[in-house]
Amino acid sequence: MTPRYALFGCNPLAIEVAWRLTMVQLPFIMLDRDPALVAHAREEGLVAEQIDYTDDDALRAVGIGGHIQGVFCLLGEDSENVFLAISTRALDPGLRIVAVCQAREAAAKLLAAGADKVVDPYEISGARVHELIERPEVVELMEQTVFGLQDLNIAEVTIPVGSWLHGVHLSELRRHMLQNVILLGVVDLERGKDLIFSTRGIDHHLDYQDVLVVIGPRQDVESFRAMLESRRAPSG
Amino acid sequence: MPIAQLLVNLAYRQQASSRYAGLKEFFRKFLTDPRSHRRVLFDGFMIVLVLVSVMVLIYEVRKPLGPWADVFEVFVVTVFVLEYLLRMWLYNDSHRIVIEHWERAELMGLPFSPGRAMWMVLRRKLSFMASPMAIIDLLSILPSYRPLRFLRLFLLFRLLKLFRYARNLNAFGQVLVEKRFELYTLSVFVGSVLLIATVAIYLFEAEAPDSRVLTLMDALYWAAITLTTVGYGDIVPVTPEGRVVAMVLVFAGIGVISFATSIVVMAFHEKMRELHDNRVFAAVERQRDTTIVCGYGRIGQEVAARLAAAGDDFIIVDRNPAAVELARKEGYLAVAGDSTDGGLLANLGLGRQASRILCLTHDDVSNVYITLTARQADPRILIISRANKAETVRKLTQAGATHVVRPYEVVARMASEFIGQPVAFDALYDVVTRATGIHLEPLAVRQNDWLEKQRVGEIDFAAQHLLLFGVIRPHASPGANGHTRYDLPGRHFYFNPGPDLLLRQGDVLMLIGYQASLTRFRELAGRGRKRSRPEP
Repeated sequence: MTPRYALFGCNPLAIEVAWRLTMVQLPFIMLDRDPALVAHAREEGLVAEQIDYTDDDALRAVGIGGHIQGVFCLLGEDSENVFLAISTRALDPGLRIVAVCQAREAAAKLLAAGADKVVDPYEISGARVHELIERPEVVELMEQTVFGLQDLNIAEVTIPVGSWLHGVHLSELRRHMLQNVILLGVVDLERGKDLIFSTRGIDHHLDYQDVLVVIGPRQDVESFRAMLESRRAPSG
Repeated sequence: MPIAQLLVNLAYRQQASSRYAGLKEFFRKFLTDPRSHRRVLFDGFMIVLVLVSVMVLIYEVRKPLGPWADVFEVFVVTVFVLEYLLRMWLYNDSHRIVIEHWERAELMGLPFSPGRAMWMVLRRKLSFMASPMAIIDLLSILPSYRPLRFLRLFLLFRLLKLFRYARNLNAFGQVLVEKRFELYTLSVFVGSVLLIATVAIYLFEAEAPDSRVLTLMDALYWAAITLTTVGYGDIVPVTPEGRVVAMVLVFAGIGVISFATSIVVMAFHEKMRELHDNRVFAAVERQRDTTIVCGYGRIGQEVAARLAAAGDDFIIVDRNPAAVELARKEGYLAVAGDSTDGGLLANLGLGRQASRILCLTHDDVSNVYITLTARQADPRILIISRANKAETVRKLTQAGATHVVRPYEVVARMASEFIGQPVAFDALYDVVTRATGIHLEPLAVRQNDWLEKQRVGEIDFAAQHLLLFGVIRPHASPGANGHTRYDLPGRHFYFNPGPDLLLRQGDVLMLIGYQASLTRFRELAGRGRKRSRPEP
């Protein structure tokens, strides 16, 4: 299978991410400059390759700017990740880039370098510890279901051009939803990244390229997606 | 042996009486418990009493005061006497000694000797009376005895009593005690220098024509004044030999002063940390429902910031003094120390008012150890532990951790969920972490709520601007078919349940909505069955 995601780094954190991707069945390749780390990842049974990521040609060779859709910058040094984010962003403006940072100040630099998402391991771990104190039932539920490995998934469905949904009210869409999915809301990317909550009272006019945020079992999400992509509104 | 029988009966009755124990505990909290808030008040009161009584006695030396002064003095002495007796009472449990003797006699089949038991009791009480502070207490009562004027000298002892109440003064005494070896060395040095200088100056100066050093006492006085670099100048050497002695002595004096200063400064420096820690312990003691945060690395800092923002009480322990300094700069309560030390954790309220402990050190071994210590000290405490390696998770759970957080796992989950659907992930993550106004919150169905025995379809969540994410039902409740069901430990989660799901007591509704809508719905749900359903 052609890898769609590239993991830079073969350290323990990267191996953890790799296992996670394996579980959700996303094809990926691991890359690192250090042959010892690459060998270690291979011993774990992961697909790993040794490349020099400072070389743009090497990056192109593994498929960045080509079949790679997303990149994880998981290297140990913030400076390395910044360099990597800049290099890969330059090669492919549409690439999805997730980076980890060690120092708090590096987060802003990584975003400026072109990362879509910066994950501060310490910050989110701290946040999680506090959430466990405050609302253990919510954390437990989400980890076991949506963020876990059971068949309940979060999905985003973009309204395709030509869909019957263009100009339809959010409440009307809810009436048509017979699948076992929850419509959390819609993100109108033209207006920003804020979620327009589905039962907010103010009825939103759906538009092409709006992103619907739904939660449900895989099959129901797929059938919901199919309903959206059809040209005509379903009867009933 | 009726006396012996009476004594033993009395001892056993005291042992069994909860009122006696309660009374003793009450006074113990007032007088001796280092952590008690009441003791601080009592100490303050006693300090004021001592100072006022001393001032009154000093004033009386020249100007007689009216009868009120006498009444006041009687009051002060009464308080002192009562305090002295109470302290003697609290010093040990005499009934235990009697019981111990009685039981030993029974066991060995020997006759019980009340005389010996009473002698042991008396010896314990005498050992209290022989302690320095008890002697000061006793002597401080004496100045009120007018007929003997020289007893006024004991006024000083009344001032010494302040040592008992002001703990900072007490620390000064402790510093001297702890540095006794250094101070002993210093005094031996000073003594020999003084001896040599005294003898030398006497030999050189006593015979000189204009000399003022006439006796050995003059020589010793001069040597002491010179050595301490005070140098009044009332006695000065006149012979060249005497001046040489003076010069040497001055340099020796500088050495002595700096050595003494450094000893005291060093001792205080070491003591300062302890004093600070004691203040932290006292502050923790006043907290209710506190959280102990072990480890103030990046994760510890994040958690502390969040706890502080939520207004929760917490206390930080870290082995690294620099980290503790950082925490104190933020205004948090922090102590430097090894959090695997059970004694330290007990001082911070483990097993008492601490309701949570967070093991967030870098070291998995430490985290496991702290978890185990905490679980043993308190079976009900909430323990959240950090695991750096995957294999530690099971060990932490075995050691008694309530929750385990593995930073790499959290990062991996987040990164891999994000990469597939970034917009949706951010939206949901904000809801879960309450970063924006929309929250996901649990609502328990309690007995007699109007929610109980209601069908999901009968509740118009949309009209309340809410979204029903699902219902969590414990395994103890009867299950329901025809809904998408997920497994949680000990419970089921019914995702997006159909309209016919009947809500029961013990169910937890997971609702998504704005904070205001959630609060309103919560209020409506709690109003009881008598009220009709909420109007949209």
